[in-house]
Amino acid sequence: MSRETLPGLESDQPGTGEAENIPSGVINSLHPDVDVSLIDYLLTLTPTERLLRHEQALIFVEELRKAGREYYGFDPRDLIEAHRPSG
Amino acid sequence: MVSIREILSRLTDHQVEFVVVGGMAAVLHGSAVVTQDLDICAPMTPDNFARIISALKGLDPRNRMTPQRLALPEDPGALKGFKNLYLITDAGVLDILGEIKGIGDYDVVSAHAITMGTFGFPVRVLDLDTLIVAKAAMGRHKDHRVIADLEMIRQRLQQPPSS
Repeated sequence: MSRETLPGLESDQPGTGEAENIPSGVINSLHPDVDVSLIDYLLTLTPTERLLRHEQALIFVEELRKAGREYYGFDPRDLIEAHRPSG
Repeated sequence: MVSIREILSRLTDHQVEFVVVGGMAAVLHGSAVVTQDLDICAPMTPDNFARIISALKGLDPRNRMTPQRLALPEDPGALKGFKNLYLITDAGVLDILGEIKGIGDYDVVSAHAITMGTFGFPVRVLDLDTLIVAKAAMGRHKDHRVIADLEMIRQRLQQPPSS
């Protein structure tokens, strides 16, 4: 178990690297929906580093969405939502 | 400008009782999901409402579920009876939930919280197993990917250290 999942712990230490003993390629083949190498990388980060990385990713996503809106003249996600099965 | 740090530090500085849940909790556990919302579970009591109002002062908090985007009232009494608050602030979206589907109210959620150090201060976060249960209970399309990430994280963390 990673140190940051232990109850009561308040440290901001990086992960222990415990998740490194099965090659990512093996697990990737079993879980095609998950980017295992990315998960493994994120597990080496501290919670703070994960949040900072997330904020950078969010800024990038917002820039892409802005580009999409400018190109189409509307938010393409509206079309996706309109055609998504309910439930 | 979205700033999770700003919101978390304000809530902490003002001693708001809360537990981070939802997608941001998944991010803290190591998921690659990208989410705009900071979801927290909090006791919807007058005292906690007062602390929330104080914490968000200056961030122009507004109820984003009302067409007029009404400002968050400064009187905690005006929030009596609210079970959830869906806010937009200058630092980003903040959803304050009194109960988490599949888990329960704040007391139950709090019993399943762990503490993580973020930006130099402790933040309580829903534990990995309970977060998976909560995400499964939501049953939404967008939650499936997060559940896959979280289950992978649990699997990776349960592996014994390599020698």
